[in-house]
Amino acid sequence: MGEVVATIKLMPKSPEIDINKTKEKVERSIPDDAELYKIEEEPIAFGLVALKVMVIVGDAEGGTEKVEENLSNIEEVSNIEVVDIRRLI
Amino acid sequence: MAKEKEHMNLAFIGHVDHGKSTLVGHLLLQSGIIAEQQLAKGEDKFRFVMDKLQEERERGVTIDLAHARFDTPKYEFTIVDCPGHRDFVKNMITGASQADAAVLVVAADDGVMPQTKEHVFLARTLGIGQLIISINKLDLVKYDEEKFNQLKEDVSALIKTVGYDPSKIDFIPMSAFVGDNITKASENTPWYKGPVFTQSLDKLSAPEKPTDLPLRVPVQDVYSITGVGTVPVGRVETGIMKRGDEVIFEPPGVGGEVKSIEMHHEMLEMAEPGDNIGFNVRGVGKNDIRRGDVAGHTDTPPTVAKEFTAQIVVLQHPGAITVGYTPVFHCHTAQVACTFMELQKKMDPATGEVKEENPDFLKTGDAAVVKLKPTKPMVIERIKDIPHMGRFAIRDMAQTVAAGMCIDLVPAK
Ligand SMILES: Nc1nc2c(ncn2[C@@H]2O[C@H](COP(=O)(O)OP(=O)(O)OP(=O)(O)O)[C@@H](O)[C@H]2O)c(=O)[nH]1
Ligand SMILES: [Mg+2]
Repeated sequence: MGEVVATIKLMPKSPEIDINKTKEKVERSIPDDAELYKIEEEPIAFGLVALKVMVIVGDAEGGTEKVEENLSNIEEVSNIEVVDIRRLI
Repeated sequence: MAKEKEHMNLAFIGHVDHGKSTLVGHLLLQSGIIAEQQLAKGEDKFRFVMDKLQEERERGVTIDLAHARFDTPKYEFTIVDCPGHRDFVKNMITGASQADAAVLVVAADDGVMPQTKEHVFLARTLGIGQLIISINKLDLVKYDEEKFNQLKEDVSALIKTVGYDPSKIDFIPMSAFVGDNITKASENTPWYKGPVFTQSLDKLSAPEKPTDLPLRVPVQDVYSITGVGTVPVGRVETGIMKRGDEVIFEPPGVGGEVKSIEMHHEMLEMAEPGDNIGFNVRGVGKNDIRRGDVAGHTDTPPTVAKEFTAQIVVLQHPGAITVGYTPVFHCHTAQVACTFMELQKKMDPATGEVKEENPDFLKTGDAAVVKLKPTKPMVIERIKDIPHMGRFAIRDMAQTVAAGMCIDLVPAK
């Protein structure tokens, strides 16, 4: 089975959230069958900072579904969007 | 300073095992992206590199390679090797990294297969206007010209059905494994007089920045920020937004003057396609707008559809889709349940022939033209008018049931 790397953008609930705490929660939210590669900060506007999370999942049923669900459930996260998806060679 | 080359995203699609990764690997090797110094003399270079990649434990290397860029004389390309599983289709439709062209890989020993058809439909649905066809694994059919011509005909018939013009598309006989016709003409195919793969890449047209289209900014989220007020956040899909412009949000129909725009925490005078911005509009409150609404200029407002006609392809449905079915449509940032009002035609994905007028049901693998009615107001545009706003994924039972594009609509006002 091949592997897919997904880049998922997390929008914060507000500019005031604790970004480091959110990152820790992201680390704990990755399901067992997925692998966290890295988390980057992307400043948006008016103090809002998004997180870009790169995760590796199998090219298989379910896709990024479980990862998306877990990340959406983080309290400080308002919504998420998969902005890039590609196979690893 | 040398003029910067224009950049393109190139998607690799095709049936499982037809050789997409092998072609990507060989292309990167021949363009020098995969370093050659690790290779011993006389070794089967390609096999060596592929083996090495496969056992590569260093994540960074494989991830960088998946985002690697390579140059042809005219362009700089980033390759996107597309996931094979259908569950990723939703991400590819709503995601940001739109491919500018696709390479369809078809193995000569296997021919047109189900995923070949599906990917062709998806490429069209994703708005990819340019294709290159790699007829691969020609080594397995003794580089037979007849075989190549036969497949060229089969694939031409297939792509014609979704509106590609085969006479404008390059079909290249290749062996991704041996490396034929990737960067130089192969002695194995003396009968082939067309361009090699990298020449074909240079014949592609550069993507147009959709700045000439009407402004569309689908709202991703809405914030209330102290000292600023209400701040909708989203990616500019088309058009240009300038400070001072009069904008309107649809479906709610509220609007006003753009007071400020920021990106990367910096003030902008104007924002263009691809920019992820937060902006502030005079008179628009936090409760007036929400995710899924779309901002546009007041004189070219986003279209709210009362009904729309779509071409869809059913990717996976456990039963049958009939009139009355109301799954959730994911279109830009909106998620709206829409009801199937009419099943107008069912087409054979392999030939494009209308198989049935007014079919009773649709099932997995069918392509069809259908009429839909959103259960609440929704912004969608004709694919011809604003391609970025006309495609959608249909989701039900946590699966992507179908993908499609809006080909016509009845505006709500
Ligand atoms: N003989 C021959 N074998 C090839 C050629 N291209 C690929 N193969 C072989 O076909 C198999 C599949 O190749 P891949 O490149 O992994 O195919 P793919 O399309 O990326 O497959 P998925 O990513 O799993 O869908 C491998 O064993 C390759 O070595 C070719 O031109 N000739
Ligand atoms: Mg592959």
